[in-house]
Amino acid sequence: MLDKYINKLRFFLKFFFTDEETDAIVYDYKELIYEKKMSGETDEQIILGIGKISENIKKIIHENHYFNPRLLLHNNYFTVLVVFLLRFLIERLFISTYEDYRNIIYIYCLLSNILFSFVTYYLIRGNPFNINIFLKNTVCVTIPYCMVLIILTMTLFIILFSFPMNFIDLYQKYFDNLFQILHIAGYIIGLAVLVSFKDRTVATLLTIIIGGFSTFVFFILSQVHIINQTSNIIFYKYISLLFVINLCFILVCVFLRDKKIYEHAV
Amino acid sequence: MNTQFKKGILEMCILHLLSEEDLYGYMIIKKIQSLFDNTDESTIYAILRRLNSLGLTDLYYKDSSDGPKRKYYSINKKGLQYLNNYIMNAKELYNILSKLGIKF
Repeated sequence: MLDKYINKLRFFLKFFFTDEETDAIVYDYKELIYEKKMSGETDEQIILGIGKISENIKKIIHENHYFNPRLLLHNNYFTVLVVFLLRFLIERLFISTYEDYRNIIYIYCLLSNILFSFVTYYLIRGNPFNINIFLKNTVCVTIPYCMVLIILTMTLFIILFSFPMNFIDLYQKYFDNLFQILHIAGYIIGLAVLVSFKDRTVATLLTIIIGGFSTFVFFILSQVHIINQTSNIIFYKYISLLFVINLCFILVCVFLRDKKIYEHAV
Repeated sequence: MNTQFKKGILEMCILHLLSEEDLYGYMIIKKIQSLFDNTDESTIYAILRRLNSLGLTDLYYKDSSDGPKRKYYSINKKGLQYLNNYIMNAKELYNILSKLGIKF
């Protein structure tokens, strides 16, 4: 009962505080609970005395802050959103400005994937093992993002294999945009995995592999496409395939993570 | 008592307690709660963390007989200077209010 209380407290604190701050606060609460227990209070009495988690969170925020922008930066979900927006804006800006230099832009994507992975790692590093956090992250973050990617990938497949060539020619620019969305969706899932992963170092490496690999392959494919002047349909088939591979990569990561949690829980 | 005013007083009291001996969180809570009714544990812990982040106190962990390690706080040189400053300000405030004729 008390463990559940502490886990919940930790989960919500992480939305507002850095990992170090969260650990310090949780340690204090653990000490308080222990001392109250030693003085003969029951679990129910202790929880009643400490108060509701939501009220405690409000109190802690009020007592510790003043508005601190650093807090927002340390919020996992906010970080993911910022990284997503940054990547989207920068890539769109580059592609719309330098249409003729797409290949260079894709090299940039490769480098930025690696850079952003490191930046994100430092921003959201460290998250003590907690099954509740993982379950909530899986339900609230990973699964929805995976669903988005699956839906988008399936849509692309259906469009590519159902419509005649002239349709694709007509909407080539539209597909470019769709690719961008897919690319970003893939990246978000990488980040989502990163956020909910227990071992951040492994997660970072996986994100780099996923993001970097997809961009690199896309760059190679675009080169092949230009050299061989292959038809758009083949080109986009490759791209679709790449995203399916990307998706599989991520699902394997999620599976491995959940397996680890399961083994630990057992 | 006004919250901000009380926080300032609590800071001074905690630093004073620590100037006498090293204490762990719950011990400080008990001492403070005996002086100030309805003082929340989270308020005291927040002050302790703040004092520590300001570099006024030092932290160390000590084994307890049957439980998790206790987090002990000790006042350092900077903390003592801060406390002396606090006391001087409090005295000054007391003198000003006394001159105004406010009786305590």
